[in-house]
Amino acid sequence: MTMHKLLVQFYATPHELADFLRELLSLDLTLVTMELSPFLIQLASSKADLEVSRLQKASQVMVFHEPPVTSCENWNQFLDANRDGLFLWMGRLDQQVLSQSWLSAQSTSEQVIKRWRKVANILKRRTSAGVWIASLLNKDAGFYKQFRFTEGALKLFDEGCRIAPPAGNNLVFLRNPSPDC
Amino acid sequence: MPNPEQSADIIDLELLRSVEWMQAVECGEDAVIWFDLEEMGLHGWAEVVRVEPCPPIKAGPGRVVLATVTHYNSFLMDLRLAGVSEPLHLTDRHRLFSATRQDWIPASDLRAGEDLATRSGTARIQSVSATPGTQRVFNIEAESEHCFFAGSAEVLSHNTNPCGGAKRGPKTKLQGGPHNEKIEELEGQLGKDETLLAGGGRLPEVLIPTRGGMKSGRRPDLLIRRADGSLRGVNVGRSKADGSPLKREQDALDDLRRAGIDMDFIRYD
Repeated sequence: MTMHKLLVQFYATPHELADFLRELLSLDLTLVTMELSPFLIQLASSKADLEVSRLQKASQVMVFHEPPVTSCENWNQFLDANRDGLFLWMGRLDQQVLSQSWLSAQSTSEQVIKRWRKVANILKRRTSAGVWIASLLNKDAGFYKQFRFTEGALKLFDEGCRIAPPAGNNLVFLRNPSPDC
Repeated sequence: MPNPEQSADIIDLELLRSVEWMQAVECGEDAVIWFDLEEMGLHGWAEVVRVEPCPPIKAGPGRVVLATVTHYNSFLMDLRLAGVSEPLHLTDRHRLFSATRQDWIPASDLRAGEDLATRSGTARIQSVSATPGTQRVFNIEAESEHCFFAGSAEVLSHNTNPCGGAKRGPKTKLQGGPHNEKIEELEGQLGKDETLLAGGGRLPEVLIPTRGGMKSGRRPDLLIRRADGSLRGVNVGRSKADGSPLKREQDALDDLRRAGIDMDFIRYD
């Protein structure tokens, strides 16, 4: 049996993330938000629950076709109880640094991933593919088409906001950098 | 087969396959089968339009072409080689054999000054640049060696190798693989203040750029967020007799550490 996976790594502003989630709510999907420290799972049943101000504390939003099991004490328990969800890790905009978001799902069922791919395509339509990444150490740079970005993220980049990689210290450019970047 | 990167694009595949392969993937006219074309960055459901008997294969020297793939691609590279007037046009994922690194390297990771293997020896890369626009691209799978010589410089080039239903990487837990069993075991041992962000057998592993490393990106087996918001990664792999990581495992750790990731290594063998 094969494990099927879906992963979209991208950059978006908090407003764009909230807007994307509100569109998912209109597709009759069940959304729950997760806060860390302390761990808290909450059902997001209305568009008001997905306003930027309400999402500020949440680290992740999970999407399900059926209502998930929410009576869990921690994240591991939640993952155990809800295997076939779609997970949105929400990148932050803090002090002029935009961090990466990613949408992911994993299942032994091809059909589950096929259904989530339709949702991922909504995100893909809102984003462009391809960023430039350079090493902080030796300026070696390359193009990564796996990473996507929204118009809002590009606007932030043009205004001088730093774009952070998913982890580590590589430099991210949403436009082709000059050779002496 | 729809292109996952460009929804308006349809990928056309023509394959020469055995009856056993067709039975294994339940391939027949109007069937829908799963394809992974990793080198082209394509994956998805392909509709079987037609099944025909194999045409006669000519006798003589050369390899039989087992598959042709064509579609539109916006991620193209121009590779200029020393002493060759015409650049090599290829997709960013197409792999060429680097004589410098003694490995198959995607075009997007090749660098000026690097030597490529050719039919007559080596050729030095003068420049690598992205080609603007969208163009129709072609790739082939050749029998036996799974590689061929491309362009007027006859650069050693890797096949597309389309594998219906086949997956790469270590055996999963479902397949009885110890690598993934260990990963899931570690995930179950995470501290109360640690949150699994990616991997761990539960979530897909995220790509972390590692420019300047042996590879341009790595996917840690587990990516964990500590209570203070910092991140740490864990790679699970095979070790030498003294318990230290095998070279390929050490390369992965070095790349990630050089890129600023706090990494741990856990052996599974």
